[in-house]
Amino acid sequence: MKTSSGFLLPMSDEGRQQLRALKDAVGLIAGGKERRRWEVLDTFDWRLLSADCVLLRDRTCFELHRCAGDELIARESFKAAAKHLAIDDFPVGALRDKVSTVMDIRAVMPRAEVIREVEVFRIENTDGKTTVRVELETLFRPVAGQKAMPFRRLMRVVALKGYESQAEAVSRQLAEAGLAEHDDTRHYAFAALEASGVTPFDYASKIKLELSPNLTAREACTRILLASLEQVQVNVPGMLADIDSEFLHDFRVALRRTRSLLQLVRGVYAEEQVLAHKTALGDVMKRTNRLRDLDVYLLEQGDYAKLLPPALRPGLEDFFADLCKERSKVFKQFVKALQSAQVTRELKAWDRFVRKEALSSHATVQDGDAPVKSLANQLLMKRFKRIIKDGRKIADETPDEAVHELRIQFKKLRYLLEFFRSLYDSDELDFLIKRSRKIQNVLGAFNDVCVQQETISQYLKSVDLKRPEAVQLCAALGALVAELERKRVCERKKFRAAFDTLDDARVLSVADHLFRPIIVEVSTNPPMFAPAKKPKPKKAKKISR
Amino acid sequence: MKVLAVYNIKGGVGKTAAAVNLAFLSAQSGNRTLLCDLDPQGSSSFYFRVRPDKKHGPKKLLQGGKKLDREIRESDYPNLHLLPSAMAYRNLDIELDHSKRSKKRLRESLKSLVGDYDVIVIDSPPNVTLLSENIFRAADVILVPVIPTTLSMLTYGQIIDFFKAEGLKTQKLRAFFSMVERRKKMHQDTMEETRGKDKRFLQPVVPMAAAVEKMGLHREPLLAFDTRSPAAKAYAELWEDASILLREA
Repeated sequence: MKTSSGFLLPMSDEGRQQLRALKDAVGLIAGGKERRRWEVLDTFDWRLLSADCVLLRDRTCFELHRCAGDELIARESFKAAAKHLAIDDFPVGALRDKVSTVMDIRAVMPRAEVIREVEVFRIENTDGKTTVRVELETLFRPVAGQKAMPFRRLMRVVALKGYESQAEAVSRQLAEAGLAEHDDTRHYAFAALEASGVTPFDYASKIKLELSPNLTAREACTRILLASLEQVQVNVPGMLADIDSEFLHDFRVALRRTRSLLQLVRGVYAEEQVLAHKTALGDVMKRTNRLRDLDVYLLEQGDYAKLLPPALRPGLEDFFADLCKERSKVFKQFVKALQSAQVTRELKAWDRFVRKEALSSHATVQDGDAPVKSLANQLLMKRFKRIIKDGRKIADETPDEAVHELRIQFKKLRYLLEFFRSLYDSDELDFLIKRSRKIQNVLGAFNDVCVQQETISQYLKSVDLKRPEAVQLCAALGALVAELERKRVCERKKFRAAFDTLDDARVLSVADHLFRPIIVEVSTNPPMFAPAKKPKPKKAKKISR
Repeated sequence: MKVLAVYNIKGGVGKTAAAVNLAFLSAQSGNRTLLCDLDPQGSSSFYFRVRPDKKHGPKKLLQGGKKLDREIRESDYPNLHLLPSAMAYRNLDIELDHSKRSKKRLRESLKSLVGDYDVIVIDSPPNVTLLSENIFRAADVILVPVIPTTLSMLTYGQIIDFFKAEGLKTQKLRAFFSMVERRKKMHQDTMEETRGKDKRFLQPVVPMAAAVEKMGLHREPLLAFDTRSPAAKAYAELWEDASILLREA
């Protein structure tokens, strides 16, 4: 069965008359009519649509279609009370298999609603055999308390296998009758989203900024701050509705980016203006720490179980049951805190600063008027040198603190690279990023293990030994700590090799070339950043082995 | 892709009715199904109101691939396609006789449709020829409709003997009673006696029914216009058994 792209019928009275005339002219025999109300489901960051699938829900019926040509991939019926579903809410089956890797840790939520009415007509030959089917599809947008609003009517010619020429003839007839061909072969979910005023792919967890090198540092930084602010704000509703843990995660990342930028670009904004905001944002951040820790644990529940022999696993379940309880308590506290008058006021003030105050010039801080590229160069060069210097000092016996310190340096470098990416030659920058990824992964894994070990040890101290399951609980956690220790040592051993991929003559020369200080004519821009102020910036120390 | 053939040397035993309804039920339960009408009489094709292309004949059937695919017609029912029969199929044996690997040609040809269909149902012509042997080799399960009468039982015995003589897998063979008249004592006796000694017979019994004959008037599978008559129920049960056999084959 092949469906043509279809012909648009006007929604007006004229359209209805046209339809009536066509039915007679083409010899359409009426068949059935189906009217269903669908919810279009997707994750907040549009993972399903990006993977070329559309997930639809009609109460207990779930259908997965392909984006182009609405081909059905999987169908499943099951009851789900919640509006949003994590992968564990799907029963084991074809549908779950198809969406699990795409959704991963994100939950799907309703993105739009549409009523789709399909009226089927057929054309028969002299034997009474159906040779062509014609579908009249009408899409309605549900309106609360009112009649649904129709917004698109399409006539589709469906060719039956072996009868393609007849279908072509009907298509020709429709075109001759003056119907406009509709060449959008995308799934009707896109039309539904558009009709509901939702823009697909409007969110991605990574910020993509195109900065022009001509911008002043202040303009560029303000743009970055604005993008991060939007990221913070857009994640709040999902976070409060507790749809999945990624809302909080992205919220935190955006906050951290913001704070990181404020800290790194001293001199662009008036310090006394920014200081209060920095503390306020830090305060919001702090309130999310425990919740995020718990989220991370709960996400890794399955992996933890795999580390332990089956006999010890029941103890782990007790542990996670405790964490679950704690999470719901902490979540409530967090929601209350986030909606408190103080935090609301602080976030509003921050919003005002970024949107209005940040750009207004301040006579006292003229650094902000310098070109963004020279600021970026300076910051990146400094950070990079620092990382190489610190990293070289780390030997196998160096205490863990130095490694953690280096990880934080890396994080700052990464944010800077994200912010200013568009200012640099992408090939060279990608090379640098690629080379730094390995060491960052090692540092990340190392940190995770350390934090987990620490938290479990803390938890162990607080276990009530009178509990009946205390023994199995402690046994499981003890084994887990030991297993994590093994992992910690293992990750630490990987450090040197991973660091050496970055601390390499080629990488250093690329960094040196990319971030070389810009010589600015002193007459036009009198006050400069510290290195640029030096009389001969060319002499800026080269990184060498 | 699994292949189910409905076969008997004898004509008029309810082969086509079984093939048509089993294919319909298979499609209804979600399998992409192709009904191959290999009987030059073309009764299955008639039931689905499908006429073959004028040039359609044994060559295209045995070529497989795109040439065969082009001859397939979509029926009026979802998931059900049909390869219509053509009068030229009467020459199938000659065509097979001329070709290499003459006993496996049909299997190879149908194999080219893997991926397009989950189940292929073959309605076979009533005789024992090279084509029948091709069908036996192509099918995963062969269902033999048997009328519980002496002559019909005799032909059933001949099929089993043929299988053994040709070294074909008799495990593929299954039978069911067809066109059974409840009032006839001989039918009942034959059935009882056969079931005692032959385990190949499936439980469902398709009765002799006016409803089945009406398929010719309606030009539709029985199950499309009647789901409640005993015959319809028998076909539904028969499909349940057949689908299990296909899954296990």
